[in-house]
Amino acid sequence: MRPFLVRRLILGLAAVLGLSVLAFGLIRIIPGDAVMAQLAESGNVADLTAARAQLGLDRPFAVQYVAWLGGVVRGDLGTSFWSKRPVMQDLLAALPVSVELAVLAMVLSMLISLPLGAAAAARRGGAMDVGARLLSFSGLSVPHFWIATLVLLYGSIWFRWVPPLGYVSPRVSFGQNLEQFFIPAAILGVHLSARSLRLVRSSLLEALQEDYIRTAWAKGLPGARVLWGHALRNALIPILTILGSQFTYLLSGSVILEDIFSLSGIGRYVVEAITHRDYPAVQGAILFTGLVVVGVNLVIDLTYAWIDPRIRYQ
Amino acid sequence: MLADDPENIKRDLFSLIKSAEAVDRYTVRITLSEPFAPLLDNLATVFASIVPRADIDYKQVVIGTGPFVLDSFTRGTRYVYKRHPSYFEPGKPYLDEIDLHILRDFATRAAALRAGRIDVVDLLPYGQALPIIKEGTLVWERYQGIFSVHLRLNVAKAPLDNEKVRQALSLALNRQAIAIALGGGEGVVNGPVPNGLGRWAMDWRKLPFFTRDVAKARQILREAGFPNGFTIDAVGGSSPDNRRVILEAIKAQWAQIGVTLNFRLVDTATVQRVRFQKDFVILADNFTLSSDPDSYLFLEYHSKSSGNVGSYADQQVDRLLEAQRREIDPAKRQALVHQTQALIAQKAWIITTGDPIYVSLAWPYVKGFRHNNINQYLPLKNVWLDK
Repeated sequence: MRPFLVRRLILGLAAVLGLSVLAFGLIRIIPGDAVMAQLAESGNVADLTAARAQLGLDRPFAVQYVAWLGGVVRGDLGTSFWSKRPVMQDLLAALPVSVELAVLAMVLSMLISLPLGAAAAARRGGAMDVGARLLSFSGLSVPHFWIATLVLLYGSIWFRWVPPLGYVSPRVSFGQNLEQFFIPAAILGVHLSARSLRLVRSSLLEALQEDYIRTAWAKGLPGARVLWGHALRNALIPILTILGSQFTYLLSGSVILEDIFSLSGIGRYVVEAITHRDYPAVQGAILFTGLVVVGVNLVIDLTYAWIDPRIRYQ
Repeated sequence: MLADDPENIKRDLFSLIKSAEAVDRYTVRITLSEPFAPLLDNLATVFASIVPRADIDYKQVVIGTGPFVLDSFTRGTRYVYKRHPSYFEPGKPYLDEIDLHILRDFATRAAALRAGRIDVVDLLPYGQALPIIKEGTLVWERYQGIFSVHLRLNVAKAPLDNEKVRQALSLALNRQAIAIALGGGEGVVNGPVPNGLGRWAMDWRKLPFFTRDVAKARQILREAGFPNGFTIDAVGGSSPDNRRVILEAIKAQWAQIGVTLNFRLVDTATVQRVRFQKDFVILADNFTLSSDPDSYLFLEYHSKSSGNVGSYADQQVDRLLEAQRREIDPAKRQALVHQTQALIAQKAWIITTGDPIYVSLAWPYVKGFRHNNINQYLPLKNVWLDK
């Protein structure tokens, strides 16, 4: 196990290092720079050359990169050109919003997709199966931002209610926090469940064809135990894989919903940072997200062994 | 602010200031090199903000003399302001705090207002706001904005160096249709000076090459040596979305005279680079520094202005632009401003389109709120809540 962990950590760090070069380079390739973006906002940068020098943008690319990477190694992601705050501070402020939205959406997605997918697989071709497939098809076809807009529009017309604006920590007010997150998380959760449901169903159908399931039936085990205890456990690996990718996607990819519900998560932070050509913020956020992706994938790989004792890492 | 630097885009707002001296603690004497009608408006812009002389990095510190103080912010999402405890107008502002939410999506803004999550929304296109207005629960006010999108034609680049080509492009446009599309049902056509500036604006029907005539446009294009039309590129900002609406409409309308418009939408930083490097054929953009017509005319069209990005140069236009700046009599200045606009329309340097009719919406308990045409400034010092 230890050699595997060390190898994965080294590979993960190499991937993050490569990502850092890409993040650092790509934002600079986009036409327009941070000084131009500031000029657009204020119309008031008297000396563009001096402004670039002040931000350190006049130095060679490699020098800028090494200086930034040196800071990253020391835990300093730099200071935002725009907010003038440490990028780490900004990210830590945005992180709870994204994590809470992602976790809630995934929990809701699993609460929908696991029982429905299992029921659809157990009664293949039956009414439940048709209904589940229809639900999945609808969920994949209808854009979640459209549902979000409709929910807001009709929520405000019929009930004079929309979720509160701006983030409220659950430590400040649990009720208000839930009020704020429930709708966007439910919309995302339903959307995600459409994909998960199909996967649960197909994985279970495959597992249900296996010999050990026939043996379980032959032993006279109750149906629920065969389904949940034997088939589902063996079908969990692909489900877990997609859960991991969903989490990393949600962490920075739910930007449209964040925008609609006025939630300042990491996705919105990155979009704003790109618009303002806030290089340290973009680099920091991408690197941070990359680290999360590597970490989540590692955890999922380790979980495989826990789910399936046949898997051994060397 | 007077630095003679080509990149100092605000310098023309103050270029006629010869000197400024502090007479006493609260008085500044400004001496002009010649009469300068836009001075007061220009001094009211953010570029003439009064700040301490001390060596302060204003990118790090927010300093101002306004009624509210920035307390906290989340980029692009939310800004919280607290009452300025020592604001110079006694008793004002009335509000203790302003919670400003940035809601880009119109439906979100309307829903949040309807549900009472916010008290006031400003700068909504009237056509889109109509359903919520019809509900009758909110107080609303109609007005015309001043943020018209212009298509700057770069006359240093062929075929736009040909005046006839530019005139044909202008003549082929149905500006009213574009304005209506922008406003979701209601809009106004703007000349070089937008309608939001009241008497300084001109009735667009009186401007040459503004009333659509496709047959004549085709004929002028033939005379210019382009009987089969041509293909031309444009670049515009991707946000707000009105650039897309405008460019798509123009593309369809120019296609009728054989002109193929290819456009790309880019972010603000790229627009700034393109503008400064004059690296465009057509640039869809807006550019407003002050609420005086001078900022729409002199800064855009004078041959020596820092804001002239399309290489426009004409002695007669320059003379008129300088004359309207010098003219203190409002009626005479209005005539000069109108004359300048007619001449600029004749040159067809910039294709102006239209603006939505805007509304501000508020709950009846919000008292003292009036919209401001210049939407950078929300006039909230007189606002109070009757609830």
